Amino acid sequence: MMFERIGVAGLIGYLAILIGIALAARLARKSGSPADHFLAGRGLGVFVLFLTLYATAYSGNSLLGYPGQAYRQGFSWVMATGFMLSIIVVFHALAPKLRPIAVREGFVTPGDWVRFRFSGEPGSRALLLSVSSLMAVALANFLFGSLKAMGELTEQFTGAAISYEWGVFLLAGMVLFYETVGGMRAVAWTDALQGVLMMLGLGALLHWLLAGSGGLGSLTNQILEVRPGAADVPELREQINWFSTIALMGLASVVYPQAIQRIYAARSGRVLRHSFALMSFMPLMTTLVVTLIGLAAIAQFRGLGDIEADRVMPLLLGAWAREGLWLSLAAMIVFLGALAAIMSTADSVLLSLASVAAEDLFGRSRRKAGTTRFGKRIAVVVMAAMALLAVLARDVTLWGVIELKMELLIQCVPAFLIAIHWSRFRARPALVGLAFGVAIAIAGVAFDAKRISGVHIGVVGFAVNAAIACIGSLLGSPGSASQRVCCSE
Amino acid sequence: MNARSGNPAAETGTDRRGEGVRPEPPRWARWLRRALLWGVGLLYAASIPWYRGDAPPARLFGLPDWVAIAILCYAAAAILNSIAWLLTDVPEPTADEEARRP
Repeated sequence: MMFERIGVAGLIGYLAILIGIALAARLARKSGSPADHFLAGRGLGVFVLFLTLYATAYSGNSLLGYPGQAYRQGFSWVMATGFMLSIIVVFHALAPKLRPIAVREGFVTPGDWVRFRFSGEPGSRALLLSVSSLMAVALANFLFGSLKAMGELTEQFTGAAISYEWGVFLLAGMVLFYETVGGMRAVAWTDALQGVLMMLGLGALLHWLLAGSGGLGSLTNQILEVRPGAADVPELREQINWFSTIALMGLASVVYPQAIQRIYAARSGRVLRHSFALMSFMPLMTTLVVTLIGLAAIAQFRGLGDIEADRVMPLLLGAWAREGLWLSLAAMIVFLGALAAIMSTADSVLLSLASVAAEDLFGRSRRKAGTTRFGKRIAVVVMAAMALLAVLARDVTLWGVIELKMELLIQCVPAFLIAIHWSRFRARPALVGLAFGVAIAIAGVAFDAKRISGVHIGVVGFAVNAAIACIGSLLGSPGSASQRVCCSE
Repeated sequence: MNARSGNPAAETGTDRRGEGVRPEPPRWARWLRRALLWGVGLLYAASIPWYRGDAPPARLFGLPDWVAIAILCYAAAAILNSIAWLLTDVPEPTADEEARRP
């Protein structure tokens, strides 16, 4: 009972701090323009940019979904550390070229790149709408996963004093409040706080787990008692899936709209590269830790089902907290760190979704302050819809949600990664390729053929998509002078 | 001085449209960056145990060896990737381009 009270008190204190940060960000704003609201006036420094990238990249999926998947899959889930790192590797192909153009042209949304790069070409408007729609769907999916994780964690940690449903609505309301009041500035500042909390929390939890289990060797022995074949080298099909997952996550994640907008929002190129240099180590400090947490749960909680596996983190925290007052307080820090990670992703996703919808889908001008207000209204509607969906569709695994999102998002990659390096890349073949890629991904999900010999259907769709787009571009006319200037170096 | 980006002109040189040239990173830095990224690729290939037979795994640091090797590969890749980012040139627009921004 003590633990539940501490949980409720910690949650209230944390939410009060977030309200204070939102109000401070509101006072710090320089104008009501979309660039100020959605990109914090392009003024993020190394510390805040790094922490906001970190807190945004590591979400409810990472904190709840990845331990759950490690519990289900066993040791081979070590691949998660690799695919989270691959995101920072693949950014080498996009950020150094995109950032200077984005700053020069005053981009706010990812769609601004598509609009600029394919300007005046046949099919460019349809390509912009298609890419933006896919991004909006992926973002909505991301928001759904985050809201679901918020509800799960709150219910577990408060001993159901705050139910799953109330947890979803309460925290969705809080995210909506500070995002609409303070924009990107509030999001980045709360992300910084949330990133620090997350690092502290995970470090404490890992220490407790390893100390409790007697070290890695003992942990392995305990897992082998429950699953005797768990240490065996994965079969070929699983190895192919390992490679496919790295490709899927690495490629799809670089076109996360919220990540692209952080490239725009950095104060300078130097700030950006220093932030990415620091981000390279975060998979080891976060993903590897949550993987070990999921593995440790195999021995602690036997026989959890697929859905229950997503709750191993809150279950572990609950077990920890029952060991005394001080451990209850430590568990509260971990809980708040996990909640912070989830909320920081939700706020970034919501902000991005609002800007993509307002400017790219509804075509509002970025120069008008009215666009910011319109974006805020969209944020309210989307948040309400996703919160409702999270309440109605609780029994979905978080990893399943992540995969679906990535398989759609990866289809946008050619319009960014190929288009930025190859001046002959054309809008119309890119559009046709994207249509085929999406159709393959959706058909795979609809007919329950999510993998072909271990390769994700989204990766197969991406290969077809890129091939069609490249061959079509080769057969088409060479690019205009302006496109050669931006992309042929 | 530009409040957003410090001093873009000092960081990136003069106009790219003919009046001047942005300072390029030294050639060794570009080669080293490329070599580091190739190294990251090789470490990724080594992280997946495709080269292993069916023999029962030994223990390394308490973990099955293929798990420990994957973790070591990712740790080394993180170091190489981090250095590669520090060597990456992300040019800023010149003051002239800033002034022309829409």
